Amino acid sequence: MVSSRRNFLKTACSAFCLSIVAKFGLIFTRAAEAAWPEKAFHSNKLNDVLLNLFQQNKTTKTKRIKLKIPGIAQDGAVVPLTITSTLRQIDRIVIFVAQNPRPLIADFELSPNMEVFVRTRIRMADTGHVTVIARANGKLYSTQKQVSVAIGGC
Amino acid sequence: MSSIKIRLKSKNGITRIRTLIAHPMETGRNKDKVTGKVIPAQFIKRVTIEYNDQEIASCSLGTGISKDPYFSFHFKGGQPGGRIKISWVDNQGQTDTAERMIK
Repeated sequence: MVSSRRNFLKTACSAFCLSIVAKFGLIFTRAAEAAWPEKAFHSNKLNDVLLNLFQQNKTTKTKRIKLKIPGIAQDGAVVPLTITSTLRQIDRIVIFVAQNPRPLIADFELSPNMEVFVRTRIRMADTGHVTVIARANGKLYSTQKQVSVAIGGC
Repeated sequence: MSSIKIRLKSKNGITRIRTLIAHPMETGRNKDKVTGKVIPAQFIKRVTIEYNDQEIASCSLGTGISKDPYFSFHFKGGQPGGRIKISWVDNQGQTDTAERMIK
């Protein structure tokens, strides 16, 4: 009698602990999933990506976003780029390469105490345009640059 | 050994954050040269950058970021002794975090 009570307590306790661990695991992965815009990363059109991320698709071309990227990329696997801007209140920056199998490269969220400066290295499958879209004051601005790729890197 | 390297440099009130993350960033389209099997996709989905436990920047990434991702940001308002924390999570649920103090 006593031993069975022990056993019951043991199993009940471990089951409870397991369920807690499982729940935390789920919550953690769900939080990561929720923050990652899966639809946007899986769509091929800039229009769909913008609607998905910003619920709008009207962009204004501007020269106030500067995209520094080599005009000729030797290796498509590593293309360095730098984005800066004189526009104020930019809180989101999106990199889009239409000719890639997954065109949406990255979506940066910047808090107000960040300078508008992003530098990273991207992959490019083929020669074409690199598009940068930034949201400033709720409006979308874009800039584009042609890059010739010697060897595709996707 | 952490997979994240962080370099910080303060100048005129601006902290330059540079980070290099050791990660394969597999697209899921490459084949193993020896076995001929497709290597499953493994790429970083989210990177977050915190200053004294407050998020200052975050990014959602796809497979279009090069292997061993590199990022650089400029942060205003970093004080000496403040902590910059960078963490990532990939599509397979792996994760890592690293922290560095502003000098």
